[in-house]
Amino acid sequence: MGKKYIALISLLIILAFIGYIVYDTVTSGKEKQDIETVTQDSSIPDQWFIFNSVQISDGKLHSVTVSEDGAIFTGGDEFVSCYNPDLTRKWILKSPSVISALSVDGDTIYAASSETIYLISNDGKPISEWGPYEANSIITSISASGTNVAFADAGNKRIFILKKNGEVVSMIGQSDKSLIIPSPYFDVALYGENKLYLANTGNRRIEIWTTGGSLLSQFGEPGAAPEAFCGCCNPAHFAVIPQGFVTAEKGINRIKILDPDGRFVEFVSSKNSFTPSVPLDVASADGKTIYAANPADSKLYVYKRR
Amino acid sequence: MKGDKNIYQSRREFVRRAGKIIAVASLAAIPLALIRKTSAAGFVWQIDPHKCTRCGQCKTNCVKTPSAVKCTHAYIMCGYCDLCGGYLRQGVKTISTGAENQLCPTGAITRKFVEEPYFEYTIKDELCNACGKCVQGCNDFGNGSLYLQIHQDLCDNCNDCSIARRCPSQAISRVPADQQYIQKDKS
Amino acid sequence: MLIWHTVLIAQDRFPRPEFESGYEYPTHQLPLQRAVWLEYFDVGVLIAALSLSAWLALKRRSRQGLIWVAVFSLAYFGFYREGCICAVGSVQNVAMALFNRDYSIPLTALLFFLIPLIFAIAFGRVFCAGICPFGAIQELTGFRPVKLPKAVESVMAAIPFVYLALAVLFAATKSQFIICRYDPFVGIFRLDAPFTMIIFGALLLLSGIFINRPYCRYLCPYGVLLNLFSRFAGRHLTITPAECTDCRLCEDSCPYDAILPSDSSVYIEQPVKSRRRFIIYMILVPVFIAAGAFVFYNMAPVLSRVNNDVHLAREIRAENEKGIEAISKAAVAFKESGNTEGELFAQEMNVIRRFRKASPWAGAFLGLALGISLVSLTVRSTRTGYRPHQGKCYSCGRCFKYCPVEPNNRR
Repeated sequence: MGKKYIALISLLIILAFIGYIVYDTVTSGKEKQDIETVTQDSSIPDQWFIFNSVQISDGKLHSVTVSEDGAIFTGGDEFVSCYNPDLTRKWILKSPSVISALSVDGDTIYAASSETIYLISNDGKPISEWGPYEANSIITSISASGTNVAFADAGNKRIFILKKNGEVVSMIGQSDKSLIIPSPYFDVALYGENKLYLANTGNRRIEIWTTGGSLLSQFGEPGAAPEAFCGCCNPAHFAVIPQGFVTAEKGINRIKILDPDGRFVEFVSSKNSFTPSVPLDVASADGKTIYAANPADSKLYVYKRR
Repeated sequence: MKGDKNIYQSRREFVRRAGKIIAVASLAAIPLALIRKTSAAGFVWQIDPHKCTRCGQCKTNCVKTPSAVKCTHAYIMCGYCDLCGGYLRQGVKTISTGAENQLCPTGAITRKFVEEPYFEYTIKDELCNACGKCVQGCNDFGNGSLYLQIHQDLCDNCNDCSIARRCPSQAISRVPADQQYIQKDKS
Repeated sequence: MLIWHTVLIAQDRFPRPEFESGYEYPTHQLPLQRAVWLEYFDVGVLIAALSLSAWLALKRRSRQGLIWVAVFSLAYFGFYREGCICAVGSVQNVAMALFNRDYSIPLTALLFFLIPLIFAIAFGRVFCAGICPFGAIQELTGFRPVKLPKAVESVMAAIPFVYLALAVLFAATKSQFIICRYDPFVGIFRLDAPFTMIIFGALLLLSGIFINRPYCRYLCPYGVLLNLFSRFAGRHLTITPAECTDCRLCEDSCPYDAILPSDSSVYIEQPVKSRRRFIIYMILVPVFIAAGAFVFYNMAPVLSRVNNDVHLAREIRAENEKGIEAISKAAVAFKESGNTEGELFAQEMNVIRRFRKASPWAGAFLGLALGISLVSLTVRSTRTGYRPHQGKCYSCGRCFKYCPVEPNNRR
């Protein structure tokens, strides 16, 4: 008698095990997931919204710039293309290397790859090429205004100021006043005749220099607060607008507007689902429409104020 | 009767022998079929750092305790920042080596001053538990020079890697034994 | 263990700090996996142990010797090598290698698959007797064998076939290694396992005290192959060292019910009846094969859900169509990765197509197994003397001490 019960119980145990195998195989993968959300400053709402967006299928998108008359230029993996304000494509030009930065002034587009600067006409015809200027250069930003063109070399941590024929006029970032650029994000913007702004990312601030090479002022501090630049090296991208600056950060992926003295004005986009480690390149001609290029999904976003 | 039995015997013998030949043939067929797809050195498991999403499951899913996965540092990709995104928590009041400032729950990252303004960050393998918090911080804010790798001297090389089975981005796969690591600082 | 210094190749896509103090980058030291020759040493140990077991079971006829070999195998293949890689799991590696172009099977895995089968064709299931760590741990804890009714036993004995079919199917489609995943004893060898598997491992060993070798009889998929190959063994373990005298003392000695009695003690059916049943069952064999293939073909989409890609695609589709938020880590990773949904769904279709092609074979195999087992019930071969069932006998040698017959050379 006893043996029968023992046999039965043992058999039930074996069947239970087989049942577990079947059950686990059938429900495999249906795990309860808990999401850890990065705490963001959620008390300040975004004042801007995405008015429009377009998928750039010409290649992986890296940078964007916009001209005074509203023509949008995008550049990336071996292409430069032009879009109308309604986001229909006007033209596309294949380039020999990856375009990391763009700037437009008048009827010339300056497209920079890591070592070379390509000049392209408004209707997509290549004009000429400049560079390479230095070995191991990683050009991450270019800005053209008035009689000068400035580009930022993150590899050598220097800003070069050139004449419109490609000749070097001056440099910023010499050894005694060296810039700390730990990551391949280094933005520069010419302003007026002899001023330029640059992002000293390693020090988490934006600095104002003369094109001759003197530091005029700086603003910015590290931190996760709205007015600060988060992480170790930010702002990754910025653009000059009439209200001040629009900056894009990496890590806590947010786009915000600061006034000319660096005080926080408002968020363009802080609650978003952009990949944290990929900052957006921002450009704006008039401060009313902000264009943001997202390399993570190769989409161009158009922001307007609410 | 006896004649019948002999027929049965010889028939059984025939079936037996035929079965044996088929069995041996099928057994020989398998290595022949796999002749070009056999690797003498074998495989090990490794994480592809470009696919890794730093979900944190490497810490909990490895059959070993502590996990055979450790954080590795690709020094030539590092920015040597004072405010390291993988070392310090976000929103620290002071940049120091205080435990309350560190992201790493086990204190496995050591910060060493090199020269102004550069700091070197090294991982202590025996303290790292593969939680991936530093990798996440470095990836989001910095250059992504910290990444997780399976340390092969600790790994048991299970036939069915438990971490690989549950990796959300299927970043863990078998790699040939002559290239046991997928390193970020080698193109 | 070798330590491997990596040469730092200039990574020029990141701006490097300009060190003025002459700082040099540290050289990485990344340790290697245990040396490959040790894996081949394991194969050598396998062959040596198998030969020893074969000699002990067939020639020397010593159950004590087999127990010691089992203890050694448990210690070496079980606790030292932590049960991996084992012959049971190698079935999956072979399946994956045969049906996938991008996977090459390690030679040691292939050898672990083939060598026990070769010994099975030659000497019977000596692998099960002394080498397999699962067999060893169950053999050493099987104290109080209890017999199950034949009907229950024959139903339970069908499970390994299903397990084998599914394991090969899932391994060949690169979906899962279910044998490894549901291995109850590897947690004991590693001294570390998920909670449910520890419980089940312990419970299985407990139930194995009474129903001996539960994994071997009712689960082991490799056992199906060993069963098949061992039936053709030229030389197999025998219960008696010389002629059987039909004394029947060994009848209840086998806990696994693997002893076939001689004809004198069993009812023999009328030949006409048995011939008719034989013909009916032979005709049914192709019917079963077709039915099995049909059923499994239709089950293919359900079976494919085991695959990670299919599971993720279903989750994303549920999000798109029904608004059930896809919050699993895999879904989050997918959204961040930049792969398009189109690619994911195409991959899902790919996997389902593979399952549609492969599942009918699994079903056909099961139908064939069922048909042949029914046919074999109608076929009767005359036996003189008590013999072990060459497919089911694990060559453990428990029956030796029950046989009173003296070996010929002792007379």
